[in-house]
Amino acid sequence: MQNIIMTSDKYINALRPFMYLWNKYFQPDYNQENIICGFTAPDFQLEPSFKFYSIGKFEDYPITKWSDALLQVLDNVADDTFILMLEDYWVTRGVDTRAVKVLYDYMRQFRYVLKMDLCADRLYAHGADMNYGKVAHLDLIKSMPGSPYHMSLMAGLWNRELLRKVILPNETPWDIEINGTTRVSRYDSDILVLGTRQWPMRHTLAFRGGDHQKLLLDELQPKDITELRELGLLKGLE
Amino acid sequence: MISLATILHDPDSKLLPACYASLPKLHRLYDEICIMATDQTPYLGYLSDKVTLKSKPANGIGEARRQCLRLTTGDYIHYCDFDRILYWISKYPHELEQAIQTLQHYDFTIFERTRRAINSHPDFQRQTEIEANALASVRFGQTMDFLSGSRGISKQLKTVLTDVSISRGAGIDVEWPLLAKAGNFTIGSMLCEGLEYESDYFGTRRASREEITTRIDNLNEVLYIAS
Repeated sequence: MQNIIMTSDKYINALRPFMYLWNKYFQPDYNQENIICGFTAPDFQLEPSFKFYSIGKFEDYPITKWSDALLQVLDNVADDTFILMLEDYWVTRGVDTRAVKVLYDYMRQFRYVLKMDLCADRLYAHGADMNYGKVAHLDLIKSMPGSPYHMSLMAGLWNRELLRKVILPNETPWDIEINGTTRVSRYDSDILVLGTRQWPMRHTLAFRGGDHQKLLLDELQPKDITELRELGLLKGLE
Repeated sequence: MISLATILHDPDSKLLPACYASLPKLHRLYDEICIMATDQTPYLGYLSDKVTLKSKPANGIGEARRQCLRLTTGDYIHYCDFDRILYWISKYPHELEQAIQTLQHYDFTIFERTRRAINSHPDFQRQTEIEANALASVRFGQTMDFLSGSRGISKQLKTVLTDVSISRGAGIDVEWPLLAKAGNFTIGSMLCEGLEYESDYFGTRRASREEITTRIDNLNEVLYIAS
């Protein structure tokens, strides 16, 4: 299974806690390929299970071209189905790896599913169909077209071909979530966004709101914060 | 200090124009350039005062790669097939700079091809390399593209590779990563566009019969080493 982690030069140091917590809480018994997609190569060693891909020069991709960077990743790197993360989505609890695999297989089977939400983003969205169906031990919910952040970029499994259809150049991540919601909603039931009641992956947004100088640790477990500090992984971030 | 180590076999001088254009650029990126060339390459005289050069009769890429490593003196070495490095610097210079930055953080760096770059290769090459990569990945314990023809190597690991490696041919693509892993050296990886198919650009694509023979030989070599 391929996990794509988008980053940029400004946030690259957030990768250290990201990798630590990812390895701590997401240890499946199936193969993972973790690809960090950024611009300038990190000036530190990545954890052994992570690879780097340079999208191009950082200065060629201002935030208003974030979608251009994502499009390049979709065209050149991404598998048919993959998990998309941002570097500040730090995992805070053990991931239900079996659920992730079940949902991955579901996405591979049902190619009209654009996104499978892995966190609680769709669970608490207004107007979701809470009884869409079941798969293995999971209850599926369906995000309703037109609901707020129907096209949220919170952690999830994505169908590359469908995502390629609804991403346009020259957009920020926030544009993608807002304008993308309108675009995806136009497809109505032809393209679905699903989630689960079970919330297989819990993560925080360490730099909520796009301020790379304002680190938010309140959703992390105290012991994790202690470990990250002791290991020097928050250095330069706090 | 960063060295570029590369091997060259170009009896028809098809890479010479790119050499003229790209050697100065490569000199700006690397502290030294070391080439192990076959004596069938006609323009060794042109290269001799520009790079550290050694020539011998062709004797398989395994031995040639070990020989070019021995020529280097850098703390870190970027090994890359000569046609690939000429293409990379011409088409993706920024990415090559990132690759050089990356290799300085690990004893061994595997430069892999992106999905798109792998798909740019001819069908037969792609099919045999996918097979070889799949088997080697099982042996290595991680999914990798081992046959990209480019590696980063620390000075410490260089000694091990030149002393212990015995592969004669393409098996060296798998042998070196396995040796690095067995020795508990740090291993990194970077996905690259610059390693897309280069032979059409240089007009060096082999005739189909020769290509098939070469690719099957390569696959067999990799299977032998990985098993």
